[in-house]
Amino acid sequence: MTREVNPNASQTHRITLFPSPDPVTVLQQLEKRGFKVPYQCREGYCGACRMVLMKGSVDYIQEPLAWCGDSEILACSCVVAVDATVTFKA
Amino acid sequence: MAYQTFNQREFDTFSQPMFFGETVNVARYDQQKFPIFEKLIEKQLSFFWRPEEVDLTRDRKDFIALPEHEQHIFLSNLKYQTLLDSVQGRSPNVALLPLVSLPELETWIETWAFSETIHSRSYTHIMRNVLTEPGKVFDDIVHNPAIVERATSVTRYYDALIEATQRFQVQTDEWQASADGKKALRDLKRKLYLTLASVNVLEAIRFYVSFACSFAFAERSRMEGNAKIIRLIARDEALHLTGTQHMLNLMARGHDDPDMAEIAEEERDNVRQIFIDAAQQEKEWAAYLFKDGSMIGLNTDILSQYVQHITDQRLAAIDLEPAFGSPKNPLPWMDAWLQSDQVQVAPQETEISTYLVGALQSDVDTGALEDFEL
Repeated sequence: MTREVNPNASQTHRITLFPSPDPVTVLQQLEKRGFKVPYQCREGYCGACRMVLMKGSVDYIQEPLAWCGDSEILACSCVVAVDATVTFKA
Repeated sequence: MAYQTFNQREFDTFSQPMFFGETVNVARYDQQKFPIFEKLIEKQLSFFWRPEEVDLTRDRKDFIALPEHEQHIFLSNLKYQTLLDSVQGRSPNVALLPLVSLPELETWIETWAFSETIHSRSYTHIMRNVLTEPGKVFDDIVHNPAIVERATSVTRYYDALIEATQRFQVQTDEWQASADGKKALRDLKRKLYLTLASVNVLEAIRFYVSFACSFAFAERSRMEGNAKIIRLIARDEALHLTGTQHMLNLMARGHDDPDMAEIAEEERDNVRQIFIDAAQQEKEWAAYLFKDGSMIGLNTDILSQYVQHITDQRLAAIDLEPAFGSPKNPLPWMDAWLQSDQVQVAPQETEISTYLVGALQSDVDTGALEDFEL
């Protein structure tokens, strides 16, 4: 029996990102690497790009207004501070 | 105890829960238990816009040229949004203000509801410009079965909460302190939690089918004035849904009233079901919109997948299991329409939110003047 793969289902990715000399947000870094990360406002208030920070740390370039759990970050509003491993669905 | 417009007791705001504590007395923001609500107020004020800023003369020509089934899609969405914002323009005030206990949250609720009244006024602006007889469209909102069915599911939690609050607040202090009173209060808290969940569904899911249709018209360069207005509405709604997510998460994670944390745990399945039911209703709504034919780039299936995508995203935001296997976004162009800095209005006509952030920098260090020579 072959396992059916739903082409519409998103997959969970686990990616490590490194600090960048330019102020490139986590969201932009992931997009440069070809991931279609969900986003909406790109200004920190809608929460669509919320993802889990597994390791490392990020600095916020704008204060996020959307809810963020203890281990969560808003990818549109932060840059990598220390090599950061994130998991997200895309 | 009855609601008091100016509570004369002295109490510590930091000891108050968001709701069901002391009624707010001084509208002061120097001490804030949850400063996020003031930040939401500031953001909402920076978003201020007026429907009349958007010119709709081209939309009238576009509308006349639309085939009949697309006119049906356009007008039905407008009716549905009119219903949603009629509810949202008043209900947060009526249902939540009698219960709120923190000044920053009280003002957020008022600011939030006020911005919904701008949305309502913008629907009249759109209808006046697009139709010769807008009255008929408005009249249909209370007769059309597809809309009326939605109205019931949107408002029943609000109405149950408002009724129970009114009953509770006319009771004496003695009764409220009795076993029956405590039971009634617990029930009231449960009603509030479910209302907040259903409001979150309204703002985070129910609006998005209409948004998708409006942006799909504009992707084909049709009804672009309308899309401009809808984009401003979508920006506001994103902020509102964040406000409700904060309330739900603060309660569920035990940062607020401990009773609310228990209720949140007990109601997990029910809340998830409210989301799933709403997703189902929105899919049915999509089928109703496209009953006489779909529009380029959109059909019932794609729109249903989008509803599932967005529902799972919203469930995850309040720590609930996705219900539809987290499907991908089938309408990637939606994201571009929902992006904040893509919202273009003439700078002299609006407050640009980014101008307000860090517009003044008062911390000058000596290094800043290093290259300066006299």
